Amino acid sequence: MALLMVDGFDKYGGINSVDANVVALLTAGEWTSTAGTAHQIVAPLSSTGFALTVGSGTTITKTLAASYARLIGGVRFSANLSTTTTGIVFLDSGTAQASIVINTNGTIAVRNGTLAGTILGTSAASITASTTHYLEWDITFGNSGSYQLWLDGVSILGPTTGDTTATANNTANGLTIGAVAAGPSLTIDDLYLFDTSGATNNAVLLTSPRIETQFPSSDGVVQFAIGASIVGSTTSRSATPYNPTANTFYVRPITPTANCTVSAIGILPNLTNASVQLRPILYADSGNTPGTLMSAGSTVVGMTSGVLQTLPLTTPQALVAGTRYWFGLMNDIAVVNSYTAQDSSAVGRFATATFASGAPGTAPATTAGQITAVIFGVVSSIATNSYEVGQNPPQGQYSYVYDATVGHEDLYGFPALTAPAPIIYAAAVKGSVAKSDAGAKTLSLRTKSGGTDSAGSAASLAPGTSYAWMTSLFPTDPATGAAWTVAALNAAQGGVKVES
Amino acid sequence: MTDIRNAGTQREVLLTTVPAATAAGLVREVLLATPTALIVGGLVREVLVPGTVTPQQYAVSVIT
Repeated sequence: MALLMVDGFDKYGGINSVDANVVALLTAGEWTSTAGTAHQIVAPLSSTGFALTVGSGTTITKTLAASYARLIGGVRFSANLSTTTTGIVFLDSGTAQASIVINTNGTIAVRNGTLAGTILGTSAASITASTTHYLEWDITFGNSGSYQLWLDGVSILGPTTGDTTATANNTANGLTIGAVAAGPSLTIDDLYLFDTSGATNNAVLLTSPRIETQFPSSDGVVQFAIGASIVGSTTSRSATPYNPTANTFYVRPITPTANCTVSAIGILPNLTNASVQLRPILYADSGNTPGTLMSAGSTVVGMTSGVLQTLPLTTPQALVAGTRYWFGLMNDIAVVNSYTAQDSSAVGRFATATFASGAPGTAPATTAGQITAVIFGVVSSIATNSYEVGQNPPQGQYSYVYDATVGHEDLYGFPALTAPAPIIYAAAVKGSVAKSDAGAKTLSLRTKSGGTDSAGSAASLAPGTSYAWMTSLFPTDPATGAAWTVAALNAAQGGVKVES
Repeated sequence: MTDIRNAGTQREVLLTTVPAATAAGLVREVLLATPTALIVGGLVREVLVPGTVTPQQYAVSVIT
């Protein structure tokens, strides 16, 4: 297999400045480990999705499936050039073999060992700070190894020879990307990695490639059962929480994308308070503000920091796709900074309403511009499986499909590529999967093209009991064995199958 | 005339008590095999294609 990995950094949710939450998303199966405290999901460097910024003293590391004598790859990047310890390190069981360093003057060097190792060569070409470029490399590991770098498709260093190892092995089995020392910031996007085996994807692409991440948009043939569904999100992506005072009436808008029935309202508390009284409230929209009460719920006492809490509604309510509703809650006593923030959109609304008087039949006049809290709806009656598995980021126990029957399979349709592509180098189907208990269970991640249903590069994958991304690669169209065409890819379905 | 010679004599009789079964509740516990289920929380397709962004022109400088 020549294609080793791709990551578009698009499946980790939206813009996210909460380091711990970004780390949790990155290390859920895709990246092996991280260091530092400045991981952020940011706007993309290419046309779709998102990108990852690794700030001061912050890195990500991936251990590869095997050791490779030669690694070929590329990444879109933007660096602020504040120190020389920013770049890519190739690892042999954790020890740096060779590095690509982005220097403060904008030149790019290859070093032996770490980002501070002996310089093997430095480019004459340079970049300016905080501009976007595509860097590609071809490195053979050895005491008499070789390397070459390309920037935006143009060779800038090598090919030449040098000692590209620091261990006794002439291989690498991992890479670290980031900013080792304090100060620098590096944003990355559209990462690919090849080795030289196989007939395709065994040389640098030199087309400043991008990775388009597609989420399921329709059901094909589905056999899995729906386990849970959600409107809104359980993920906190902003560090500044909402601060409810005593007798706060707080709501925020959610517009479902599918018809559903909401039975409870959930919240992600930012602190623990054993005595606070909470009441879920749901209001219809009235001219972009909360209007008539649809349902409320019984009082729930207490909240625990970091533990998602659901508050049942007395009467479940049918919601219509495309219609705005106001989800929220009332509290009795002040609980300082207790509602985690979903993002920085500040679309929450606030009023003072006496908790003991119950939920107002008509929402009081509210003040706009409040922090958007992590408040979501626990829903049912969504008819499509693609909805549950199409959340970004995945919502774990709050949105999933499941099946125990060997041979059962779910296949989903995807949207068409957003731009014409003269060539498709590869597709990767990735699932955020788990098993329900410690028993044995295996799966395959599928692509069905024409009449051919293929497991791709991984015929049998064994998930753990925690959700993690697993991958199968499809460098060619399984229906033809040749390179993908745009029409074939757009028509192909992807999904998951219970193998054993 | 009444014969009172044995008047006041006690007779002790040992009786057997027949135990009664009582039932205040009854359950049937069944040990079932719970099949391990595969759970899918997310699915994406990542497609590697040539870039659509025109790379920014980089400056070329001479290192002395």
